[in-house]
Amino acid sequence: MKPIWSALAAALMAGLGLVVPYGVDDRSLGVAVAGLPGTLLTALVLLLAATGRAPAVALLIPSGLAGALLALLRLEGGGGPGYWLLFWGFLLASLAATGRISLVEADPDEGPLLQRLRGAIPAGSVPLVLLLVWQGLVVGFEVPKGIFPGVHHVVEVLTQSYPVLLNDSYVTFVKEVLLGFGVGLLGGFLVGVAVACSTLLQRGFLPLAAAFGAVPIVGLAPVLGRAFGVDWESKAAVVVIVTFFPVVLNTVQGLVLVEPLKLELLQAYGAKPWGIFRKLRLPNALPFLFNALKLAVVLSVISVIVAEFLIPGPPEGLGQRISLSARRGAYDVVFAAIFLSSAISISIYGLLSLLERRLTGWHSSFREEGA
Amino acid sequence: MVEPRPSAPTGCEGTEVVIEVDGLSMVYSERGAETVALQDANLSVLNGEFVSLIGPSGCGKTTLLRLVADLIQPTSGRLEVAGKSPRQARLDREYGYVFQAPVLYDWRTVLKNVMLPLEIMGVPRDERRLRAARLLERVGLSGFHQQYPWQLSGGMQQRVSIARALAFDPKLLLMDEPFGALDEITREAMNLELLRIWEETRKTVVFVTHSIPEAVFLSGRIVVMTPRPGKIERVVEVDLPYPRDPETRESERFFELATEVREALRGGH
Repeated sequence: MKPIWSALAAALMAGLGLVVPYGVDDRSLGVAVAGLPGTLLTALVLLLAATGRAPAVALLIPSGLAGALLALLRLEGGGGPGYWLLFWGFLLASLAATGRISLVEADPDEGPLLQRLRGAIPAGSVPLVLLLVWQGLVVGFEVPKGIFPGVHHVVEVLTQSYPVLLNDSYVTFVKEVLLGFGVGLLGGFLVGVAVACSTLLQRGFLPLAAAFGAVPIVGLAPVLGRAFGVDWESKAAVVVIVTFFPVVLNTVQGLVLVEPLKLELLQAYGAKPWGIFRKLRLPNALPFLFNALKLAVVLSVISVIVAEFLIPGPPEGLGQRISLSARRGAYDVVFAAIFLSSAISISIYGLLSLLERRLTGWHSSFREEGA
Repeated sequence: MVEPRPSAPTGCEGTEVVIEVDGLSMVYSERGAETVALQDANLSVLNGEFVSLIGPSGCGKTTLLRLVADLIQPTSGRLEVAGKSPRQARLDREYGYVFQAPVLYDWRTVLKNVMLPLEIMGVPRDERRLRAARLLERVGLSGFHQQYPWQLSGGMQQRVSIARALAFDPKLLLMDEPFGALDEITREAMNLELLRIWEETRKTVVFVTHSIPEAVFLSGRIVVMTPRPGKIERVVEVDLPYPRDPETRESERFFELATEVREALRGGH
C-alpha cells in the first residue's frame, strides 16, 4: 500500500502541536506537556503513516486513539493550539487508518480471522472516536458539568451510584417493560388467534386494531395513571397497550396469509382444523410474530420512559430518574440513566433477534447468510 | 364409458375400478356469467393403470383431478373413488396428491416434509422416520434428510413432494402437471424415475400434463380433453410395452401415437 496521505497530514498536525503552546493558561510548549510518551507516540504515528503497509496501518488505529486520550488527559485548564492540534491530529490519523482498512479490498487468501477482524475494526473504533470527541470537546472548552457532563462524569455516576441505578433499571425493565410485554404478548396472541378464526371479528376488529396503531398511546398515560395508580402498574399498562396491537395485527396476518396450496395439501390429507393450525398456520405466523415483537420492544422502552415523565410516582425508574435529575441540573445522572436504558433495550432486542434466528432461520430473510 | 382393455401390457392392471366418473359436470358462475369447466365427463380408471389427462389450458383436466381429490365439488354427475364418495376417499386417505409446484413447507427439513402426512395420520414417531427415510431412498434423495427445501433444485424438490405423496402408501396417485416447471432434460429424467416407481409400487396413477411426448411415454391410456366447454374428446390406448426406456421415445410406434394424440387434440377446434 502507498502511504496514507490523509493520515500523514494528520500525524504532521500532531507533530506541529508539540511545538506550540499547549493550554490557554499553561503557555508551555506541547512537547513539554506531552512529555516523552507524547513525543514518542507522535513519532510512531508519523512513522506508521509514512510506511503505509497493512500491519502498520492497523497499528495506526490504536496509536492514534491512545495519542488523543493522552492529549486530553495531560490538559489542565482550557485547550490551546497545541492541545487542539495534537488531539485532532491523533484522532484523524486513527480515522484515516480505519477508513483505509475497511475500504481496501480483502486479499482473497486472507484467513477467516483476519476477515472477521477487518469487519470489526470500523465498528469498534468509531464509537471510541465518538467518545473521545465528546470528552475532548468538554475538556478542551472547560464545559461545566451542569451544562454538559464529560464522559468521566457519567462513568463516575455509573460506578458510584450503581445501586440506585440498578434499582431504577429493575423497576423500569423488569416490573414495567417485562411484565407489560408478557401480558401484551400473551393477550395479543390469544386475541389474534380468535380474530383469525372468525370472519366477523376480522371484519369488525381488524380495522380498529390497525387504526389503534396510529394512536399515540403515551398520551393516555395520565388517564392510566388515574386508573392504575401512580406506581409502576400504570406504566406497565402503557406497555401492555403498546405491545398488544402490533401483536394482534401480525398474529392475524401470519395465521391468515397462508399459501392456498399449502392449505390444500393438508386438506388432501383430511387434516382437522387443529392439525392445520399446528402444522401450518402457527409456523407460518412465527416470522410475523417476531417482527411485531421487535417493533413492540422498541416502542415499549420509549413509551415507558415517557410514561414515567408523565406520571410522577415514587422516585424510582430510569425515566423518573432522568426527569428528576434534569430538573436539578444533574445531567451526569441523566446521561448515565440514558446509557443504561439504551444498553438494556439493545440487549433485549439482540436477544429477540437471536431467538428469531433460532426459531425462524428457515425464513427467506435469513437465507443469504445460511447458504 | 371405456371398456377394460383386452390385453394389458404388463398384466399388472386388475379389473377393479378405482375411479368411476359418470356424467360429471362442473360449472363456475361468476357475476351471472357461467363457465363450463367440465361437461358430461365419463371415465373409468382401473386398478394399477397409468392414465394421463392431456389438453390445452381450460380443457378441464385439472378440474377433473381436483374433483377426484374432493378439493372442489361437482355441479352434477356421479363420482366414485375407491368405491366411496370422494369426500370419504379423501378422509380415508385413499390418494396422494402431487401439485404443480412442490408445495414443501419451508420450515421443515426434507425428511420432516415427507413425514408430514404421517404426522397428520398419527403414525408413531419411529415408524414415521423409518418410512420417510425409505421413501426418500426410493426417489434417490438419501443424503438430503437434513437439508431445507430451498437448498434443493426444482427437480429435487418435486421428488420430495412425490415421496411425500407416497408416504401413507395410498392406492392412488393424483399428479397435476408435476414436471411442468422443469426443464426438458430434468423432465425426461423424472419421467423415467416416475415409471420406475410406478412399476415398483403398482399404484394407480392419474397424471395431468400438457406435453404430448410425456403423456405417450408414461401412460397406458391417454384421455384427450378439449376446451370451451371442457370435455373428454377421445381416449387413446398406448400399446407401447412396459418397461419403457429412453429408446422407447425413438420407436416408430411412439411417433404414430404422438400424432394420434395431436390429431385428437386438434379435433376439438
